Amino acid sequence: MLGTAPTVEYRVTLRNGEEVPVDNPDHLPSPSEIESISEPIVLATIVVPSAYVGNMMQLSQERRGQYLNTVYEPGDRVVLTYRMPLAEIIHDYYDQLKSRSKGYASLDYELVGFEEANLVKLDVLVGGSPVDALSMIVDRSKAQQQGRRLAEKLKSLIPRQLFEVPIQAAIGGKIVARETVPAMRKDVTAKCYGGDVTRKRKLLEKQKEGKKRLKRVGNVEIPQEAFMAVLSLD
Amino acid sequence: MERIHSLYLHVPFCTWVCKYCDFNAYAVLEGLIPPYVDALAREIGVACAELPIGPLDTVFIGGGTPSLLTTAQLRQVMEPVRAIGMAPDAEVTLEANPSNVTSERVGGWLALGVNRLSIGVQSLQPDALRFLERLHSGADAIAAIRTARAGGFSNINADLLYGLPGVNLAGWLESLEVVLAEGVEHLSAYELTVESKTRLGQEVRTGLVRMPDADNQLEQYWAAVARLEAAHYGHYEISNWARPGFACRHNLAAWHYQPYLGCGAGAHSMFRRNDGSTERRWNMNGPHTYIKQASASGHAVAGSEALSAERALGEAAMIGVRLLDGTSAARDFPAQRTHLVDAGLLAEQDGNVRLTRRGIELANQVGAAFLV
Repeated sequence: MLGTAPTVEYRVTLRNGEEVPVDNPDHLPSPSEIESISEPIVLATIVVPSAYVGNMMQLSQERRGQYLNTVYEPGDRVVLTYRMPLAEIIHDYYDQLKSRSKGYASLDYELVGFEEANLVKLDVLVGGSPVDALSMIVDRSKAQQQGRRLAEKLKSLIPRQLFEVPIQAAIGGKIVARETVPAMRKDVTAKCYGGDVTRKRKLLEKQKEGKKRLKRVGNVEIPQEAFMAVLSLD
Repeated sequence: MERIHSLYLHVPFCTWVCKYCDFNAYAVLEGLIPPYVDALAREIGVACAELPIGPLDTVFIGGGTPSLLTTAQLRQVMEPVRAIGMAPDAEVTLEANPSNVTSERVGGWLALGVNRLSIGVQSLQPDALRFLERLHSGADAIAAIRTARAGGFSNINADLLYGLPGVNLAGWLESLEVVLAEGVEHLSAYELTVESKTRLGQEVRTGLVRMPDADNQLEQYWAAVARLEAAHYGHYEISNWARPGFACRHNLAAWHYQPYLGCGAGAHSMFRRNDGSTERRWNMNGPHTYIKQASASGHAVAGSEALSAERALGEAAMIGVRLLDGTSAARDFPAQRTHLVDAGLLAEQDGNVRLTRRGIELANQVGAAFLV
């Protein structure tokens, strides 16, 4: 099973005037065909004790939230309202909300429409091959930083292979970040005599079994956790 | 069943179990060796009555420290071995700790048919020997080689360890040089391997000992490869070198996937069935239980496994690639071969394959490729 990042449905207006829905970054038409991209926007209502209002505001701003309103209610309750892109909420916004409010904050949101945004597709190349399941649609202003963080994260998650593995993040064909997983340096048993054979074979078989859980992209074996990396970049 | 021509005998006792050792070895317990020798002789006798074995091309007495046995005890072990029948040019190896190599014992070993002595030199650096908990000095080890030589051994192996904490490249090459000056016929150089269930493993885990990194270990390895090549030793297995005609035939048999019988505590055996399948079995590890079982029934098997013909081919290739002159054992794996050649780990040679330099560094990756 290959998990991919949950995504939202974008509405892409092409230069020829046609509007197409896109819910998979990989299906995004090439930049030259795109006139504009709209993304779903929600009205988010956060209810939180006053002590955590600052944290909530900071979090929401990091997620491209547009501040609308604050209402102080009896019993130390504060109701904050933000307009936010849905894409910013579905990743780990809720987890962050809980963790930055010691669990007190609650969140409610409703879809209020679509809004044009400056979005780009961030591609990831592992060992020179694009990995569709790792691509994502991101806000242009954050794209380079996201690319860098994703590449770093993947470097820590992709095990060393027989050869060096470059990890690149690219926007429209331009590389914005690069990391390298160095080649495996050494994997050799000093002694392999009669009595060592069974143990050694079992060890190698076990390692091989573990490798079967890796997904092969080109020449590179990528663990499932790497595909989950796109979910927890923030 | 394919006829067996190789015999391994295990003597699990040591004066002191060094902290890096994860072999089946126990600090010698007073009074345990005589009943162990009785049990071992019994097991050999019973096995040769039940299995198609002999004449023996190779016998290897390993440990532990088999050189702890008295000449009388070794004679008791060798009697049922001779009864199996020995090939005229049989290779009979005994592993010896430098502390035990006296001219009396050397004479006794030769008289009993031992014709190859494998001496655990390990290092000649005083700090390294202390670190390894060896009870002998470097001078003792050199004296042991000379005593064996003077007594009549013409086939001597020295075991050395590299990649030791606190020993740099110059120190390692110095140990190697001193051993080479003794003109040994065979040399095994092993990277010090940290096994988790040893005291060294514990010390590394807790940060008390820091092991050299992979680059340092490989630097020492390749320096030894170059030095030994210059000294005209053939590099025939990843960790083994020999003068022409002195490769260890016992180990070669195992690496060529020939069957062998192992007797003694924790000893492994490998049998080949006529249908191409392989049976591996191993004895109980503990000397007490081994003595009890083997002296009662002549058997002390603790477990076994059967490998189908197909898996046996994979295992044969996994082991075979360690032989650096090339192996034909990978012939049944054309796809893996091509992949490994393309990856630069194997090179084609006269229809066989052999590890490249990079392939040696990643030999486990190569071996694993043949396991299906």
